[in-house]
Amino acid sequence: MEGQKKVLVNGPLARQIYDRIMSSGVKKSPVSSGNKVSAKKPAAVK
Amino acid sequence: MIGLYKSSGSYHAEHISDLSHRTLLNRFNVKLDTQKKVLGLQKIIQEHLFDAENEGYRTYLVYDEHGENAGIFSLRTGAMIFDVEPSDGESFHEIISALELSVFAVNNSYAEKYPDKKYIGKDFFYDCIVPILSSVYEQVGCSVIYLFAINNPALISYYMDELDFLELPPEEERVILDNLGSYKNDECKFLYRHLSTVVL
Repeated sequence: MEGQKKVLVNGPLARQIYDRIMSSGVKKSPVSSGNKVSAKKPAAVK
Repeated sequence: MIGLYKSSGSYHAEHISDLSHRTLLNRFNVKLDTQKKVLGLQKIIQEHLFDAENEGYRTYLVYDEHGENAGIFSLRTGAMIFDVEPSDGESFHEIISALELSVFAVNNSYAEKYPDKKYIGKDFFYDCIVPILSSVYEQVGCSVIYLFAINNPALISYYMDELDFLELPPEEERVILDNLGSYKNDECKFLYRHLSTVVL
């Protein structure tokens, strides 16, 4: 199936394209989802 | 204007997982009034998407509140790799972690059955896709979603005006398309949206 796992950007405009895409975001304070992540307790060994 | 759209809340998505979904994919009907490339999209949906799970694609069928199939979308991880060449010093790479919206389509049979529903694609984008994007952005730190749209003016306008995707200036887009191989040139348009703009 067609698709692009990687998009390669080179040449003199590369830096400019990178800056344009990254600057299109919204400035936010550091993201915190508030989620707590923990490992499952291992099953008891009999 | 970038902002969060208040969707209908009536759509939900199911990840394809069993052979009954393969049957639904085989029957999926894309609107065919634009270009022959749309036939290519229908062929991909009907013949390749189910097996593409093993290639890293994740495909979801979209259902309305009555369980009718309204659309389909596929996501997979991607990356944009920039070979930056400063005027003085050695070149280096900047990388943008990304998701690719590989497939996004309204079921034409559904759209024809409910002509009063004007925003099916937009509604299920915000009902079903944005929650995934929001979760990935917040919990993993991925930066961008991009897609390669069929180069049809109405479709491009839809992505930009309704779904808030952005285009690059032509000379910058050319740089990206030139690296994609001949089948992409002039047949598609690169669009992107920073994931910070979809956080709920």
